[in-house]
Amino acid sequence: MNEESLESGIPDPIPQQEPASATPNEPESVDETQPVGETPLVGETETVGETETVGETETVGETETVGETQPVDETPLVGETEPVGETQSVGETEPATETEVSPADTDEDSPVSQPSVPKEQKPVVTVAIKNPMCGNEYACPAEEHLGKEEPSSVLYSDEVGDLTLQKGEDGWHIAGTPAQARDWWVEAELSDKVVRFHCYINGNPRLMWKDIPSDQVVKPDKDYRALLSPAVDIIGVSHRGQSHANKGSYRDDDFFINFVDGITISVVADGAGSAEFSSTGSKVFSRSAGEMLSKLVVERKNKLLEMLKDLKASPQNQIFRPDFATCLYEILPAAAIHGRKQLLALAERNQLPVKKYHTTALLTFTLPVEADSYFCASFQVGDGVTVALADGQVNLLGDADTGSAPGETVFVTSNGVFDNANSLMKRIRICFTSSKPTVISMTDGITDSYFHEGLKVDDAGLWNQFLAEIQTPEGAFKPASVICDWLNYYVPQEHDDRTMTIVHYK
Amino acid sequence: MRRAPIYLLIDTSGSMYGEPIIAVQNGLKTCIEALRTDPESMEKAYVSIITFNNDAQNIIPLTYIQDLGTLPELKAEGGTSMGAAIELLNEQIEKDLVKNTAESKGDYKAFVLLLTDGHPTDNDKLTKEIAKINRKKIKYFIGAITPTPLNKDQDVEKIQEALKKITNSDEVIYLPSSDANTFKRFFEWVSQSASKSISKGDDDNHGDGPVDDGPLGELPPLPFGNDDEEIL
Repeated sequence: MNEESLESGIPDPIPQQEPASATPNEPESVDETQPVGETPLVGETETVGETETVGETETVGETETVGETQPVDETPLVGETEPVGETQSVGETEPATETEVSPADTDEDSPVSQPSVPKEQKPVVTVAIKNPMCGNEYACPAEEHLGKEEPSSVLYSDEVGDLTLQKGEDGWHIAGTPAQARDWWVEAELSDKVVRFHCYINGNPRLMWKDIPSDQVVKPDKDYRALLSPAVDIIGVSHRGQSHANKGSYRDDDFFINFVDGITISVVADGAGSAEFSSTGSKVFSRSAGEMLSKLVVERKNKLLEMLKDLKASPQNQIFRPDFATCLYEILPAAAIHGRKQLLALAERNQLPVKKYHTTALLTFTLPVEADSYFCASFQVGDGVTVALADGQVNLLGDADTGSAPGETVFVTSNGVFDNANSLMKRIRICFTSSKPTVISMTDGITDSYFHEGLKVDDAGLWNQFLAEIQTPEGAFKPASVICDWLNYYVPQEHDDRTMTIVHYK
Repeated sequence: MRRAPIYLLIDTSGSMYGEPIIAVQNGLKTCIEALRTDPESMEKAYVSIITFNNDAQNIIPLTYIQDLGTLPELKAEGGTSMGAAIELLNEQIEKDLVKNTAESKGDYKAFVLLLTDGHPTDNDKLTKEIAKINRKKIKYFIGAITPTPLNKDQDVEKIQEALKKITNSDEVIYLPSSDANTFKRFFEWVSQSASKSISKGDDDNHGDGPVDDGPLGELPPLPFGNDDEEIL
């Protein structure tokens, strides 16, 4: 009698002669054979003395233990009958007792709900949950859809197991740190429905970026240079962005630095992403404009110094003195025009429209005027920024050009930029500082990623933070190669080339 | 953050019924999957799907690609209200796209695809809406014609005319057939092109005039010839 149940591992049914009562509406008819297929539920009287096939359960002369259901797949062996010690003749049933066990009374903590309706027949409620991302911890509450009921079955779309339905302190939730990108779902079977949570597990873009070297024929994928002298250090760094690295294409940014006759020279150029030869464009421009800027400033140095000594007493952004304005005009826009001319000639030689060489331009020069006085002048076409940092102040030396339609910008090779002297003058900015300045020019690859899309380039605190990244604790700048590698920091959605020059009076 | 919007305008007229609409459904899924393998698209792409038959429906409003769930099922029935689709596109672009300002760069220009198998049935509206298309906010507008079995006898030139006006370009793509494989390859190309458009960025010069290569010249090559008689 007991062997049948031993195999299934469940406790032996106690051979009680007191079957639990059936539901009140189902009195057992003494003379009826229990038809196959009508499963007596827990608590129902079973006719003693007959072998019955009850679903897949066969019980012989036994009643099931009150409170336990014989699970469907844990059945006593079919085909065996055991003599029962208390065989009763067919036709007699055990008197019903008043044991109160019925499906409705199942204890709330009962581990398994009634498998009375097959899962395929239950209505399915689909719930879309927020898409997780690989490598990121994920948690999403599920209690609202499951209530307190423990699912009788949980089925996952796959066996990866990186995301699971779990019961925590706050109830049911779906949690884990997913590892694979894919469609994902879990089906939780409840007594009256199946709840299907589904989402798409996103791959992590950070892991998708490739780093493919270009052939480096036009220029190396990263570049750095430093000119160090007792009074001033000049550093130039340029790093190809993730966007180009992913495709194996060239760095489009470039820079030029020079130190001549006590004057620092800097040019930063950002080649247009949509211009096919802008890598060459920025390279040719920065070099030719830089050489010309060096020449033009040095030629006028003495004249300039005299005017600066007069002017430093009343520093101003507007340039009112005509001779001073002319002097600057003959230096900065003139150097830019020269660089632009080289690009026009290059385009012509190769029979290409000049827009294929489109580049922005930030030209800057600085020189000490007298003791405790320094002069900075800058000229800008396009985006990016130049600042002179001194005395905790951020002096902006230029305005980024923006077009009217989304994402447009202006280039040194654009039509109309050099047509009007007044508009060219407006592109010149100057400042005097009484303490030693640090003058930095950078492309929008840095202003966008570090200075919040360029919105915070006037934020002194942010500049201090920026300097802290590239300086030693003592306030000296780290080696150019180190700063260059640091430029490759990861910011989602910001994958442009990053270039800057730093002029640091010590 | 600067978003890269992608608008897909899909004909779900009655003639798309059967294999074509199922192939398009799967093709769209392929397109999204392919976009998800490109890191730059994964970070920046926003996708909107507009279907059109008797009217136009924004079945997926502009949604971050990382937040996209299962695509709704497409049903093919009714006419070809291309005008309504363009009207909806115009409204969405006006509403969705964050403008460039002096302080900050707005969203990237849009990549738009219009796929149809028949000529428009609401020409008056279409003409009106074409005039309102804000070309400055659109980087690529691609028109594609698919030959469905039920529309075999359509006047292809008529469809071509409409698409050329809508896309403001002479280049219209002809799918060689409307079967599953063709759509799969087509939509893979769509996602490569959208990704390329995203990675190119948007710094076209203001005032330099129209792009002199046709837009398709800048995109990856089509998986089939641009000739409606070519057999795959």
